[in-house]
Amino acid sequence: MSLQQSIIRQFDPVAADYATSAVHAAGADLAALVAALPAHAGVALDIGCGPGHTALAIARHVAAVVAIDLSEAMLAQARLLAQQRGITAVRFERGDAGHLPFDDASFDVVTSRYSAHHFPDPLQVLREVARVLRPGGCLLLSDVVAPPLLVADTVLNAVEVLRDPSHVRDHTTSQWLTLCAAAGLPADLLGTHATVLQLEPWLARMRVPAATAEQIRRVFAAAPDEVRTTLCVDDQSFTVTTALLRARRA
Amino acid sequence: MWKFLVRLLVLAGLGVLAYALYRAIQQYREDSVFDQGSGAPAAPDAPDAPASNRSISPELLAILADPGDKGPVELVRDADGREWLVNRRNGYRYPVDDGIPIMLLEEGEKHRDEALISA
Repeated sequence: MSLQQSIIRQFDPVAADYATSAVHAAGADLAALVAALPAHAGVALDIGCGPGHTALAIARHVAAVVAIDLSEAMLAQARLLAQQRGITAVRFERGDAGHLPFDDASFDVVTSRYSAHHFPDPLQVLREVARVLRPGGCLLLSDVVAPPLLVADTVLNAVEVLRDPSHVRDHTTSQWLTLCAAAGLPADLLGTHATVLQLEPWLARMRVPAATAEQIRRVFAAAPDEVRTTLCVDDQSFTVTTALLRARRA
Repeated sequence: MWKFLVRLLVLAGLGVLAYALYRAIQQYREDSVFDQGSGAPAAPDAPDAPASNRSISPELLAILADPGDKGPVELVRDADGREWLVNRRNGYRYPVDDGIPIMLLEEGEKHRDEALISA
């Protein structure tokens, strides 16, 4: 199975659960992303829109939004949510972040929230974003980042991939800044948010089998103190950091 | 005195009506950035379709490109009434499923039709 097929297989069945997930539907990181939108922006592109939380949140602040995702079920969920909220200036499309189906310089803003850890080749995605952005346009990227402490980075990505086989990697903030610069999108870190993830709902949202959930608990239990401190691990929860980056197309 | 009051009422009524109309137009403009483009041609196959129709809007069509060669794609309706986005350079056809374009390279390749390539 390819990574793309894995992502679809992972997210198609849980689309409805993501539509109601509090972590995804709201959260301080979403408010920060909306606040970072440029004033009077024209058309925005949301990459990896999932059930549409970000696309619909920004729709009220830009002229129009195009939202893409690999998962058909997520797109159906997103369109339903748009109808429920009476938001019409948003269009949905099945598309791949690494091969964006848009003309050059089509967007003023590109957003990606909680999806970048699925990019198989983030540099290629960022180059595509640079291509479809108008000069002066910006990318607002928000995702869980790995801590600078290498061993905590390893443990975080280990539990992530156990939970979700289509997980590629939570990069560190400095890796993202380097990648953005390499793609011609010099970036700044606008802020970070700590999110406490309760283990039970976090595992349930991905319908993790009991045996795998047990493995994840064991990885946390066996993790050295530095990791437990960095990720604030206890029996019920752990804490991840979400970073919001703004990258500008020169 | 009576006439003056009636005139005043009529004027006030007109004012309220004008404001309501203004708000309605504003709302319509806000809602129809995609549906009502400046100078863009109307959707070829749905000139009088209802507002809830699930065809691709001209604005989206204008920025859509083939995910591979990034060139333009053309909206084509086949004999069964299905909509496709066609790359005339290589014959790739991308399905439009319930108004949602499926712009994945493997989909385009799967439905490729060489007869659609224009010389």
